[in-house]
Amino acid sequence: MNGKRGHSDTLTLSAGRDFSRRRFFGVLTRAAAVWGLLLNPLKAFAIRLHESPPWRKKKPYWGFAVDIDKCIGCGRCAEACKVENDVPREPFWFRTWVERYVIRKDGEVEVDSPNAGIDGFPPTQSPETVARTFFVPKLCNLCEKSPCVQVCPVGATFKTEDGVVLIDRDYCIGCRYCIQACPYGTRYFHPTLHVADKCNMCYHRITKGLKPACVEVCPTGARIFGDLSDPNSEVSKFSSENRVNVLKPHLGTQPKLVYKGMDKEVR
Amino acid sequence: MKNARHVLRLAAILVVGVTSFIVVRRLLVPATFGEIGHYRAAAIEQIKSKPVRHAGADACVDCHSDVSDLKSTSKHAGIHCESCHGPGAAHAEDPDSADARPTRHLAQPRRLFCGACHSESISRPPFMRQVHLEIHYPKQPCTDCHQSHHPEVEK
Repeated sequence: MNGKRGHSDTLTLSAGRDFSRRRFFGVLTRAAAVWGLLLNPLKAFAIRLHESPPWRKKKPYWGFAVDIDKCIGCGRCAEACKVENDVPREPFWFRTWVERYVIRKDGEVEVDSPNAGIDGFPPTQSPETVARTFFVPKLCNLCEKSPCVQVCPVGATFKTEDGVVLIDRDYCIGCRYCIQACPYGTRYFHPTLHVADKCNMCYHRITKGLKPACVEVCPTGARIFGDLSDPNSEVSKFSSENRVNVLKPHLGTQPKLVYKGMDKEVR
Repeated sequence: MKNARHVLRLAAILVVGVTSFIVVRRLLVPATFGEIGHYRAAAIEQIKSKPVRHAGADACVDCHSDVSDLKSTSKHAGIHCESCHGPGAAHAEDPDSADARPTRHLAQPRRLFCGACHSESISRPPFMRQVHLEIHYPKQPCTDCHQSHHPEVEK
């Protein structure tokens, strides 16, 4: 450098070559052209690859749908789930349960789920004040971005490559952090094993080609389970042909459990 | 020379530190951890190996085709056997064992059992056939008139 920078219209680089203003603008234009033509589309492709839903890449990729209009609140699902998954019989521990929503004409919302609905529901008091009422089955929401997985300090709960969130009972330290983190309240603390437990879509069944126990026993077909990577599967068709929604979409958990006919009061 | 000894000492401490970290990590992190992701890959096989209790709809039809044929022409056509009868995997595996028979449909009085789906409730969707259990032939078991596998009453 000769200390003459900025005073003449040639810049002397350390390589010693003359770099005229004209050449500088030429290089700049070409660089901009390359950036615009090549790099931007590449970047967009990379983002699309990263953000495209996993079921485009991995087969199978499990999903679940619930048709609220078909749920009759019989509780067969919760009963079958308890038997299939050795869930303690006491009425505090459930992997899946049925909630009854009663919305009064004055806007008051009542939700109950006595013993998950296994023993039925008591009659609704003063039915003349009810605006609308319905049953909503609840289970693991199959979050794509699971808060429970994010908070586990040891890696005992995780999302498998086929999209199901599982719990490693041998590695869980029982800190209950995941139970706090789940915004859908689907986790409970197992009273004898002292580990967290929750619906795992009957992983031992779906990997053998069977349906989850709750789907198997649902008498009205309100529960639909299947492979999202197959556009012709029952769950893919149901989700694409109906107006469905997920629970608490504002949390960004991206559940793969969708509900048809969901009321705004459902939490 | 004095300065070189300092450097060597530091290097030794570094080597010992790194080695002990690797050894301790080896001891604490379980086998197969991190093979697929931030979890024990072996856990997946463990969870998969759990025995199945509900056999699934197809398992019953092989032997009980008469019932499934009757049911397929009725309003109960879409309902799988285990919805009412309870888990049947043990029975499907060992059909002769009396202990393994699904008995859930016998666990409750008939009227309560059918009422799980059919008792009158304003929360049930309108397509569901419902009766007031206190008004609809209150003393009789449902099966006096309705055949469970073909519930339509013939007139």
